Amino acid sequence: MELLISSFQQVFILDTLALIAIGLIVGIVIGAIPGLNVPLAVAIALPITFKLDPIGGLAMLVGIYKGGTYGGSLSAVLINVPGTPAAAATALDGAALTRQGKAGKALKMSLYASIIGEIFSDIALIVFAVPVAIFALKVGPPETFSVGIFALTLVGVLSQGNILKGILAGVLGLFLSTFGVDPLTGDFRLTLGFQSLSGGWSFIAMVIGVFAVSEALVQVERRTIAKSATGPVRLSDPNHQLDRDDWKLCLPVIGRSSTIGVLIGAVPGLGAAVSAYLNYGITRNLSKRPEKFGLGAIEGVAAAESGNNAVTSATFVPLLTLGVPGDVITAIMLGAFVVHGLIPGPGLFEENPNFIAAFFLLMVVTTAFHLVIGRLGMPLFVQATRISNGLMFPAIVVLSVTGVFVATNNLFDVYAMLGFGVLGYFMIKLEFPVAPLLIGFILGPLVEIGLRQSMIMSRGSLDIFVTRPLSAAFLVIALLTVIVVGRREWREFYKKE
Amino acid sequence: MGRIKGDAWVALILLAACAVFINDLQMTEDSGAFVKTTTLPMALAIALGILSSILLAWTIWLQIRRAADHETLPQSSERYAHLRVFLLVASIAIYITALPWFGFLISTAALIAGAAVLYGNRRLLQIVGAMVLIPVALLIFFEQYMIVLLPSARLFE
Repeated sequence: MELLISSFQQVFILDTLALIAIGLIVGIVIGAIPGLNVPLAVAIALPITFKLDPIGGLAMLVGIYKGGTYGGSLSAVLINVPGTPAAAATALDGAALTRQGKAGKALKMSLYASIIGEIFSDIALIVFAVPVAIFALKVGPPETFSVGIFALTLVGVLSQGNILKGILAGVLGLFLSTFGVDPLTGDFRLTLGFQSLSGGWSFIAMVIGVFAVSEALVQVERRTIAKSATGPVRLSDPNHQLDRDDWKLCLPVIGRSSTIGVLIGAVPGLGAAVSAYLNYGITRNLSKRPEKFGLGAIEGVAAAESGNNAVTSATFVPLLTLGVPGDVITAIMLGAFVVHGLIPGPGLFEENPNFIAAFFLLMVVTTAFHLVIGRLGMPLFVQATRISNGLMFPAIVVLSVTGVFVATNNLFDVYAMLGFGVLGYFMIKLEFPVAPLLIGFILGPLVEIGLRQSMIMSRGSLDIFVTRPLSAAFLVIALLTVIVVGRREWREFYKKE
Repeated sequence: MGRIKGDAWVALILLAACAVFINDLQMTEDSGAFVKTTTLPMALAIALGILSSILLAWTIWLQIRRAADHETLPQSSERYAHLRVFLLVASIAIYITALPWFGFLISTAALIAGAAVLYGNRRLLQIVGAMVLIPVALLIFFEQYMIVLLPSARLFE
């Protein structure tokens, strides 16, 4: 009861509620603009949240995450250009409905399906986080090391691009995390003669460089002008209303897709795009009218949108309980936790139950706000698809530089951000997945401390990682994933050649 | 076999970087029990080197296999696209260097104008509006609300 009162006191204050609303609006608008994506928005907002209280800062980031994941569907439906990768599945039927003059139907279903998916995800987070954290309290350094390797392998292997490039990006991220001071002995390493590197590479410089600056470079190369919607959509017209038949078709689909989305969100490395495509495919395969898919099946929109938004809260289960981010966005948000002295992992539940309770409440309140803001603001949000890149990206470049400068007060880190931006640009161009780089960088200290403490426990023997059942299990699953995905990739390559 | 492709360049750059890092690590003073300060970075640098070698070998093997597919030189429009990327990187680098000298307002306005042109924006009114509004809004937001000082113009002090 005490926890409930305390969490209400933290969340139901004007500042926090305003930050949720701002986060949602920014997220939906950014998600709706083709070329901008949710990690970019979260990365740019991250330095601002450093100056806010923990719940206030996270309120804004969670708002951007949830709003942005949904916002991608607006441009997918209206102009057939998905605002986010996850919304590409929504575009298949959403754009077809727009061509039939039923854009409002697709937009409304997309919002309601997203909200139901988020509710499933919030419930899963609240129900499963505490038991997983209690279990995680029993794990020691060998398991911590193995979980880190397991998460990184999954992210590296399952990301877009080939397996070799995924693993290479993950190892590079781990390597970059070892620059600067040794977390156990305090000795310096890999500073390359720069005093500014004694604290290692700045996390914020890396995040903003790899996600915002690299995207700005990709877009200046393409210099695509976003297509505008053909005409204004009058959401009150009868053609744009959802009827009973639509709901009859969609409700079972939303329930199934949300459940699958929650499971996908809890597994590191999969994420919203996988969930959207998988759920779209399952729904089409199970449908009594599969021939309608791609031609304007409303249940296609419902499956993709509930599936992609159902991952949002579920990705916090591994982050909060094990300290392992499930995807790029939670990896960036880890920075906001750490800056406020909140180290995700089982210890957080013991030491800071008030924060955990407030965070759970925050997720639910954000979902409720999402419904209200998403529905009332729909006529305005659809206008975001008309904003030109020629104005947005210069502003993003300025915000990136200012954000890093404000967070670190060090021009070396701002130059480092530019360097990471160029690295990210080449990674995107050469189809290296970016997610393993960031997750490797974040998991680096966890893996290193786990490894070194384990070696002290075992007096230098590596056997400790395979003689403890849980540690062995994680390593075996990681190895199996590499073998299975590697074999599949090899077969596909062999067929193509 | 033709020109070396992007992935092979990446592998070669990574191999060179690994050599530099391994050399640096060998000269670092080591401490710690069982796993020392440089053990993990060294292991990771070696792993990076091995993975880069595999990537290099794989890319060259693919290039030989596909030797029949003649590579075409980039079209002029693509060359201009690369030039735009280079110009934007250079603009940002100049902007960061100029910040402490010309201050936030002037440097930012100049960057916005340059970047807008690179992104193909030719609406003068829009560009001028952004040059004024964005720096002023950010300055007010950070200095008044977040209480963080942005660089002032050292050159004019």
